Amino acid sequence: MWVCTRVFHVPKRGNAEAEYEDAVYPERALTRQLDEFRCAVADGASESAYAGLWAQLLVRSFGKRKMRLDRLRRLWEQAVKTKPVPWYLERKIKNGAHAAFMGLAIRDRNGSGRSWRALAVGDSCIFHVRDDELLAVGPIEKSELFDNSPFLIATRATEPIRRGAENVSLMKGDWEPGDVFYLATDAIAQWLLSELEAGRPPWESLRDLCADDDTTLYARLIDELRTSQGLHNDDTTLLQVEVD
Amino acid sequence: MYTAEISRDNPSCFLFLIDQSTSMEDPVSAGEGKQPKADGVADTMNRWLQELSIKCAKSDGIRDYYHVGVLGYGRRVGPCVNGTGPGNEMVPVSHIAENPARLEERTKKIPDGAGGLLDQTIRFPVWFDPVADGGTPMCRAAAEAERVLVQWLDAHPDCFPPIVIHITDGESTDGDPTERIKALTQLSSSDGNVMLFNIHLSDNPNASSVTFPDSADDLPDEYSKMLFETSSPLTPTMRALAREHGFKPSETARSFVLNADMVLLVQAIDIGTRPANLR
Repeated sequence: MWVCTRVFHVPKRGNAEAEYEDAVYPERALTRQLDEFRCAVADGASESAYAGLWAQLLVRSFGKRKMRLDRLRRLWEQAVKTKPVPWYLERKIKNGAHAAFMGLAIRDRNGSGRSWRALAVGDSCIFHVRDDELLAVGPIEKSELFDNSPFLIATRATEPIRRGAENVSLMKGDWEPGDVFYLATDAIAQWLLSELEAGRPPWESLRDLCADDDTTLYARLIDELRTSQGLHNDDTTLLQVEVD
Repeated sequence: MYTAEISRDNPSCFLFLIDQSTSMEDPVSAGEGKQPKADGVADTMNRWLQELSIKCAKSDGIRDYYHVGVLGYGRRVGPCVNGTGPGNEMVPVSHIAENPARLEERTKKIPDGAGGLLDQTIRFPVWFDPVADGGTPMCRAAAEAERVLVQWLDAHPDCFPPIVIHITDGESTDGDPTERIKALTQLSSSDGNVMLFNIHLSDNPNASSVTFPDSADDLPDEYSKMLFETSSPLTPTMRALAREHGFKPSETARSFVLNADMVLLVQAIDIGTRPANLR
């Protein structure tokens, strides 16, 4: 299969680019022919310290098929405990870091056909679109269900995440050539759902935006939505994946 | 109302009013150990300032999402935290976090992830030691708080409304403070009225521990009742948070506690995603 991706992200208004704490894998646009493709977005919680680092560890390890939480937790601990820190940061580090996560694996294999699977914890979402029609969305399906306090993947081993647990969502389906997947962190995911609920499917305009060479269009759209439509002011990340 | 985004460009503020009068030497009526009320004030203040600081801590330092002022009242009325002074009552929370009076080492039990507990040493910042000296000029203190808040609101007209946290044993010595205290919650930004949380430390033998009541009926004396009547209603976010912590506040519950703690309300201040699994 051929996979073509586009990546868009904008930090929270008022924050510097260096303060952006979402993460996405792959980090840059790519067009490639392969049998299996893995991608992910994660959203580091703003009330954690080093949450951006945790989000990075999650998406990269998923992308490289090395997602073992105990190993990632050790890597995070090692990275944040390299030097003496003020008392408040010491306490914050003891609280650990938290992130929402959405990972997608798409396969095109002889025998098993064209399939996809997604794994999610928290409020980052996947949208599966065919011919400008939404086929699947999750783990949150209504814009009103987003809140400011989702269950997230934690660096603390005292907060384990297991497959099959109530807070872990698994989704799967089949795909056809021409299908498009969007992985979105919460603010833009909530807006996409609210547009659908208002009878304004956003897929055609989103496809045009992703196809445009002008990469500043996304930042301008987000800025406009924050101002005019109450888009939640947050780091805002969108990954588009087209399969053929 | 109460929806303004709290950011470094549009910070909110916390103003503490703390009773430092001689009567604070007396012990509280409820709880183990019956410690002097002044010890309870110092403990409460240190916990609030810790929680406010930690909430804003990021890997690159403290983000100044709010400013903090502490007005003491007893022998004198005025700012009583390092780096503040007359005309400069409010400081960024980073200033508070960076300037405790001292750091103590304390041992805390934490879960070891396998069903047991581990001892962990933590640095514990202390800003306040117990003070109990002089009368209880609550009217003057409320007037001073009003002046400070008017000044803050002039400079931050669209901020998330300031929160006043008043810790006292309730016995004013310069007149009935009711109207003066009520006047604080009549101040407002474009996002709503100033919120007042009252923490009453009582030595009344009939005072049990009460958290977020919706009626003054079961409160032991006129001081408690006055503080209850002047306390702001809990916002829906605060009620939801209190429920998460095992309390059962009604729709009309007030931000009032008697011989109890309400530092959990720090978590209701929205500066970004707060993980549901972080307690």
